[in-house]
Amino acid sequence: MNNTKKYKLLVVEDEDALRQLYVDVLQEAGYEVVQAKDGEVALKLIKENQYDLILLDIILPHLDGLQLLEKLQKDHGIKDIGRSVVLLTNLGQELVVAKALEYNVRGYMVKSDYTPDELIKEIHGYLSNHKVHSSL
Amino acid sequence: MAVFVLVIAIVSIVFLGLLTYTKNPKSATNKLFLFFTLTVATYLFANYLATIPFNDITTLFFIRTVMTLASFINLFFFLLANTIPNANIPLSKPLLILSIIWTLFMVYLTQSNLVFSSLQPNTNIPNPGIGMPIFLAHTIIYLLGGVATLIKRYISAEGLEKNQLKFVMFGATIMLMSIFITNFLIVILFKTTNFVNLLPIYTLIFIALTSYSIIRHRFLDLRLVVARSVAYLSLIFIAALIYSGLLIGLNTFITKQQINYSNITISIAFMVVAVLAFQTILSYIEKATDKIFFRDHYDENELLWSLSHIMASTLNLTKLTDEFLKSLLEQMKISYGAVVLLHDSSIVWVGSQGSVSQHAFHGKDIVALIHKSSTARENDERLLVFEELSESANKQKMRDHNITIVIPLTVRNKLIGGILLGEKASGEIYSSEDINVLKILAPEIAVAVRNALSFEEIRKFNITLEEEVKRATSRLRHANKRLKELDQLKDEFVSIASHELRTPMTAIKSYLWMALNKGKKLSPDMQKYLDISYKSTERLIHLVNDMLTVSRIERNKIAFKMEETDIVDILNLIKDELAITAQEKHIDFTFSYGTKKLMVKGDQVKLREVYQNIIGNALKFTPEKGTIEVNADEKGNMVVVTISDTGSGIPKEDMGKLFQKFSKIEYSYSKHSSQPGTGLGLYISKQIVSLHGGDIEVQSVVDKGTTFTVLLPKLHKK
Repeated sequence: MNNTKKYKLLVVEDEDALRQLYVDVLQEAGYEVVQAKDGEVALKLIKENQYDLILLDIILPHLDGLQLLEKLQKDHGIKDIGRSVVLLTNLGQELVVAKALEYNVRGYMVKSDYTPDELIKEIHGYLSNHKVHSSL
Repeated sequence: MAVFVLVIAIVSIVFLGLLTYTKNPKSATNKLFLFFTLTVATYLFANYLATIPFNDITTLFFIRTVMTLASFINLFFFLLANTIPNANIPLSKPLLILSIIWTLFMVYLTQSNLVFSSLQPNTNIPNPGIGMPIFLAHTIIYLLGGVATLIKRYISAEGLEKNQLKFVMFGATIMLMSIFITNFLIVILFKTTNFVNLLPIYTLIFIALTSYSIIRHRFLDLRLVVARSVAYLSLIFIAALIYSGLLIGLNTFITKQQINYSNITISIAFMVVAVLAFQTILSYIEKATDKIFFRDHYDENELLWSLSHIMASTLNLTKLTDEFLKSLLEQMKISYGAVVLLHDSSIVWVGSQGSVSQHAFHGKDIVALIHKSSTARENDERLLVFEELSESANKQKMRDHNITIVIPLTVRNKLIGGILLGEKASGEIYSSEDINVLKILAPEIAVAVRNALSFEEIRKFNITLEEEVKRATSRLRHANKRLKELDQLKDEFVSIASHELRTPMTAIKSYLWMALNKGKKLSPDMQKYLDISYKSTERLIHLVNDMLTVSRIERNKIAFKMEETDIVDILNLIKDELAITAQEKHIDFTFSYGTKKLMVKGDQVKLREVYQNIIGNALKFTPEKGTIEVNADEKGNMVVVTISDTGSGIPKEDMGKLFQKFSKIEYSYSKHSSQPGTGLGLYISKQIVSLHGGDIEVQSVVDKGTTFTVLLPKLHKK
């Protein structure tokens, strides 16, 4: 759908069914999609590659989403990592959201609230730089 | 006879003076009283001598001495009148010194030839000298001063002191005035000494009245001593009477001698001295012989007193029995002893003193002996004494354990234990005096031990209670800690559950969506089935979300982001969101409020959920072509939003349950809807509004419609 520039996305999701779904719909929407099934894999990928947007789950094996952000900021000097991260999780407690927003992430999305096309619409919004907001 | 009265008077008054003085030698009253009585006694004696014919010079000397002594009597009487019954002389020092110097001057005056210059020839009547008026004035001033003081003090005194003073005053006044009249004025004026010998009678009157004051009115605290002394004096009196009677009888009828009264008088005086000395010598000899014959002897009263004192002074069982036994053993010279306490025929406590260990007082034999001692025997003696027992099993037991005496301790006829005593240190047997003392002591020590036991029990109970409370507190603390842990676990569980439940549901929902929207063209049936599945999944997700919210509200874990919020903004957003649904149902969906902002302080997202929920409900439950009206305005301090529909309404009896969790009303209320609620929406809304300091009210008429009113506090601009 958008051929002028092919955005490169990283999907970090441990649930296979969901990860596959996100990869499928995002690829169909025309994005280049890389996937990671846990925090450690994601850490390795992020250190070595540049991504336009990272869809990051919070509850992950080995290294959870927030720990990953912490590590990237503190240990690897990627201070503005939050700018390319949208948290895509099913945790909705205020305290968790507040903590996540401390990393200056682009957005916070509760998975169950979105149908696939709504998700694509949101992501498209983030990438075209119009939208910097969390939707709960 | 006159001499006899004189002797009695002298002895009595000296005795009274000494008695008073020894009772409290430090008191000025007692000192003055002693001087007074001694001077009066000497006066009596000198007066007697002055009436006996000697040569002129001697008689004149005695007469002058009588005058000298009279000066002293005057002085002491005056001081006494001021002091009695206090410990200090209330006169100022200069006055005191002046009166003494004056008296010394009187001594000089009376001993010189100024008061009495000479005797009338062949008589013992003196001729007054030129100093006589001074002496007269002196006597009158002192005596009247003393009497006046006494009368004055008598009038101002109260109660006991008044009575004491009354008798002393009468006695002293009668005595001194009588002396002044008969022994002085009459002698001077009528030149006769016939009345001079009445003097001792006046003294006796004084002694009698003072004694009465002592006995009746506790004058100078002498009652007990006086009571003893009266008996003693009576003894002397009777002895003197018998002696003199016998002496006169013997002289008259047997030896036929002329009665020589002066011999008799001297003889009686010796007899009195002998009687007086008798008691002192007797007690001295008693003490000396006691030392030799009764080395174990103790003062029974003192022992009882000291043991009673111990029993009354402590509630500590160990201290009580230790001190009691120690004192008893020491004074009665007993080798050893023990207090044994029983409870249901078993020994519960032993306290022992002396040359034996506590273990000697355990065992069945001891219990049996104590029981035996408590059962009254023929002579009703509740006491076992080894020597008095006939040969028996019990005697054998006492022999085995070296126990000489067993005393039962009973309180209100209940046996609580016994005192066991060993033999006397001297090897003697217990005297009947010892046994009597022990019998007197037994009930007292029984009560004291019982009290100490009760005290101990209460103390132990208190300790137990305290421990019990401590334990309970600790259990509570533990439980509280556990609850906190559980609460923490529940938090974590809810958090995980929300994630774990929503994740698969998201997958189902998303794939159903894909099947419905991205796959091949579906058959109508398949379309319908998947559609229902999709909506059910959505409802499930909604339910999970609501349950999460409820859980957070109830655990106070919900956090509001409080900011200045315009209710009109929120309502406009909802209006746009729901306008299409309303249109589809042909519902007259009107929002009426001005352009004015309606500001509150609140969490924008949460408040939006509240209005969404209520307006959404109205939309769901209002049949097609119905009306929904949303009004917003300020009323007082509140921002008021009313949502009125023309739905089916809610029966009155169900109104109260409307805001409850999983309220069935909400289900039935929503049964007309194609999209039933979770049963939690109104509950959550009410909680959120309450937490914002507002309220939700509802009015409804069945088949007419329902009006919800949401009230929120208006924002107060500073």
